[in-house]
Amino acid sequence: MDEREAIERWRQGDPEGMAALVRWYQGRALRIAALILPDPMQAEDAVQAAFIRAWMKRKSFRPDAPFWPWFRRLVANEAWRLARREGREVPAESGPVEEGGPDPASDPADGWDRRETLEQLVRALEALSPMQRAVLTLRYYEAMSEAEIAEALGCAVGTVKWHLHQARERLRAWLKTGEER
Amino acid sequence: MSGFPGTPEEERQLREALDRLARMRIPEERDLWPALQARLFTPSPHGGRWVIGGKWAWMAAGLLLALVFLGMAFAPNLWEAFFLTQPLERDRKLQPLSLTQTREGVTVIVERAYADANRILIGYRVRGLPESPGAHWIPVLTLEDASGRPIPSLIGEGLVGASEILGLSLPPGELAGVVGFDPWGLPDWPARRPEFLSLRLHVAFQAVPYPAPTPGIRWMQIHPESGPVREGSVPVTPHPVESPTPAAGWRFTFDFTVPVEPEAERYGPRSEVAHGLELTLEQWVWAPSGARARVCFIPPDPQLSWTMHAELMLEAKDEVSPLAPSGEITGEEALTITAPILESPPQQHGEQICLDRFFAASQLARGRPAVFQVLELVGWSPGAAQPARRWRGPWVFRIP
Repeated sequence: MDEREAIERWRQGDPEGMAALVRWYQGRALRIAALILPDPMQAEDAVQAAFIRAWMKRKSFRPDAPFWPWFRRLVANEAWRLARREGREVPAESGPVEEGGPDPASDPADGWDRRETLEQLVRALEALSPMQRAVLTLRYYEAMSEAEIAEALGCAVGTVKWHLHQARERLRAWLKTGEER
Repeated sequence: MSGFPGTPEEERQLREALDRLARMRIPEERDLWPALQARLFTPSPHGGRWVIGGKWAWMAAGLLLALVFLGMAFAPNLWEAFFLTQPLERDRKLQPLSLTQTREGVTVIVERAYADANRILIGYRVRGLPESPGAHWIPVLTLEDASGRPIPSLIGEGLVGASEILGLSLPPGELAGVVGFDPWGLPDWPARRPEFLSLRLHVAFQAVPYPAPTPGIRWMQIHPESGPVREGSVPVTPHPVESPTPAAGWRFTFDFTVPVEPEAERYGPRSEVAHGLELTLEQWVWAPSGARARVCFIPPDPQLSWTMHAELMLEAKDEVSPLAPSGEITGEEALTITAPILESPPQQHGEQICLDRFFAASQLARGRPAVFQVLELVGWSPGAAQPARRWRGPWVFRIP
């Protein structure tokens, strides 16, 4: 079954069409959700909720449209909705970037190699707020435009620009601290 | 120096780091299909959550039964899980009661009560109901004030068995629920509200076949072991020929008094004209249980039954509301709650028709500018084949 056939069968309410779409896109969807939500179980919940919403909305899906761009918007929206809900318990702007900087236990003698950059970037990303990580994920991991991100997260384009700016500044500050050690 | 990434090479590094982080958090391939298949295509014969609204709230017609599944642990607080009581329980606005009665092996406990300008809520739990294969026992709650005036029910929410969505599980023979009643039928309401309401609650039971025959919804496969099936390709579960009859003694009456939450903001009346038709927002009432709009107009054709499409928009900036059940987000600067959660039947006042709409927006709306707008009026003739008559708006009301 190719994607076109899967989409057609899914639109007609055929569980086999749905099963094919789930198995093709679940991995990618889980990675996006996991970048927005630190808890893997919540990421799974978000992706399941997105697939259920997709099933409910399948009649309004344009048959000639590609599935993924439409579906990833649902994934981002569900993940951000859960992140917002959890935000009641976690400070929205958490992240010890300014206070902490790179892992002080690492050895400066190791030098500034590619592997260290990657590890530091990963740590820096973990320290960003959910919103900052969400916009970075959608912009750089999924290559979505700022307008598409705004639509997916239910906010203004200006808000996306602001969070992108903040996230990029924080990443640069983090890496700069590492370079200057 | 500008932010990171600033060059194509840095963008590549960032993508790699994001991929690394994602794979750290989801280290192995997961197959979501079995869980999704269960949630979408396999109703459980034992668990159920229901949400009921409308004039015949406790009758089978119009029953909206969202089937959910076994396997979840007890949640610490039932009333924080139900949609109708969640924000109120968190704000400690629900009145704790423990009124318990037992008759012929069945125990009814009235655990919570609440009243404000827009709604009266009763939270209850029932224990000791016997097994009834092929049917759910549904409690029928009716409410009256101290003078015996009936207060109509608006909406109900309840749980039998277990619900993944609510994260709740009840033992066999137990059910719990919340019913919302409409106080606007009481004299001078909502302009004059007493400090306390004395209420009499009657509880009876009826059996509803499982799954509920819901117009417009086709039920699919019942047996999980039979694998995925196509919609419409399997017969609907046969309903029992005879529904079980509740025991004669299963009738309970509770008398109690509940404080009326004083917090409420009223707005209106205000009129707007669109395409030559005047529409009046008679009352807008914010209350802790939600917002309510009463809209009145002289119908362009009094022979037709009229309804309206309305929505509430709240300035939301970069926030996404957990209260938008459909997750429908439109616009860039505003959040649209696309649909009211509840409608009341039209009421005739002289030449005018009045329509009420309820929005689950009170928590979200506090301190935010809001716009209530009626998008169009629709007139239709019940039983006639002629197309509906549409009167386009919008009539826009800015709520201060």
